[in-house]
Amino acid sequence: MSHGPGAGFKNPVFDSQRLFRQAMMALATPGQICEMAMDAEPPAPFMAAMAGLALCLVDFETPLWLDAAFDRPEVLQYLRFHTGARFAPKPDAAAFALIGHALAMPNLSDFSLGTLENPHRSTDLFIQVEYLSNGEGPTLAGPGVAVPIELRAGPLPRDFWAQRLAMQRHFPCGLDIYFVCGNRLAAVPRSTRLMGDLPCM
Amino acid sequence: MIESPHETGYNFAYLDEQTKRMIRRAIMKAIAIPGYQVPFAAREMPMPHGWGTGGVQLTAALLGPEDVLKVIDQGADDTTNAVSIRQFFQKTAGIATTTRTDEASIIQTRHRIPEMPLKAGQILVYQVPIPEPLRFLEPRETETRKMHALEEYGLMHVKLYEDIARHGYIATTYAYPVRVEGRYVMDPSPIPKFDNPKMQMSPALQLFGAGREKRIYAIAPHTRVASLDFDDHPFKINRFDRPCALCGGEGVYLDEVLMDDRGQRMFVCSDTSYCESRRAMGHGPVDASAEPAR
Repeated sequence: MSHGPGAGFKNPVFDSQRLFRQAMMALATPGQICEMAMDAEPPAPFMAAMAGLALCLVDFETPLWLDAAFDRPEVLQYLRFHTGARFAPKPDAAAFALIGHALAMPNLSDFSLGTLENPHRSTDLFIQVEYLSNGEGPTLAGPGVAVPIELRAGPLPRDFWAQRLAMQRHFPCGLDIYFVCGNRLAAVPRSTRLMGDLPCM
Repeated sequence: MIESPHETGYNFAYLDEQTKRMIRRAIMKAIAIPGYQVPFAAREMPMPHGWGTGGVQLTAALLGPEDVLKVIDQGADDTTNAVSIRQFFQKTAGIATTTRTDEASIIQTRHRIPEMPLKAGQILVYQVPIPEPLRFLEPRETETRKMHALEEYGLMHVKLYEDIARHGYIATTYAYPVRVEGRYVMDPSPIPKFDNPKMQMSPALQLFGAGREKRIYAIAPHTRVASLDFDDHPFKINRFDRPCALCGGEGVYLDEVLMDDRGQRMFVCSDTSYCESRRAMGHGPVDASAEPAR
């Protein structure tokens, strides 16, 4: 390879702090769409907010699983250089999963849901989508949601929300899901309850 | 680089970046599983355990240059613990500090929730001595972990019942256990039970850090937080039969202050910022004799 990895954070201390706070507020207010401003230069297929999440949360302690869209030499080089990440061979061995092509993603139950005694040992899913807005999607309620809010994200597998709904009864085991679209982010933690009829994707 | 007058030789807000990342990941899990205690690799801090090392580590992982920090100790901004933690972050992060609840973006607290209602976007960081509400009932971590996994909280109700059997009412007055979103029983840290209702559906994010015990837990905004009780002995907060002797504030938590060695005492707001802002607005002591009978 002739080029080195693209630029990471210009100012690692303050950039990662700012992005963490934005991601944390997104998680604390499920369904709300937050801006994640980023000036790094990650390789394709990274969207800006995806690179932001990865650079501010991933390091050598957190095995990372990449889907086929992300499993490319430039991406591996970029993540190794900027985060020191180790890579997990299987989805359920990962602390974080980066998903670039959601339609081809594994079933949610293929990731680690944690255990009843250690529910925090689960995989966090970072999913890149082409559209992300409020309205015309499943209705979210639960902790962090003041007024039930609809979240439209996709394209996702047809039964994605049905899988997510089926997982609710396993709480506190479950997956915390972050949807990324460009430099925008919305989160659906495991504590969020899906209400009403699920739209068919 | 952002230039600030802070102590050189340390990273921004003292902790190194890898430690902050580890704490940040624990915070994320804690928010996603409200009330569940997430283990984290707490570091040695340049202050003793019991001085709020858990809260300090949370604050260090959260702080950015734009934050305005308020630190309270039993409601007061001007006592040793609050002053030393505030100075610690002034030195190591160079951030702005305040004593006013409404100006702060992050409020680190030891054992009180401010009287002024918190707003969306604010973060309340609690210092927690013993995070496990079941610890005095079951000393083994392996067992309490199982009890939380299986929602086996009968023992806690037995403890509260024993209060009723012995005293006729639930005599627990601080660190009063709560149930978060109908799932985890949680220790709200040693806040007076007077403050428990403020946790219910609060628009602010509440984070709890226990440094010695190496646990982080959280309550997301707008989360149901119910104090444990019985149908025939519902949860009640203590009421004070007099207003604050300085600002005349009612319905607030009061501290008893001894005035001399002959039993003279006065009751004043525990929340010094609240008391000062009321006095600045012209409120003063309520003259009991001038007050019409209520």
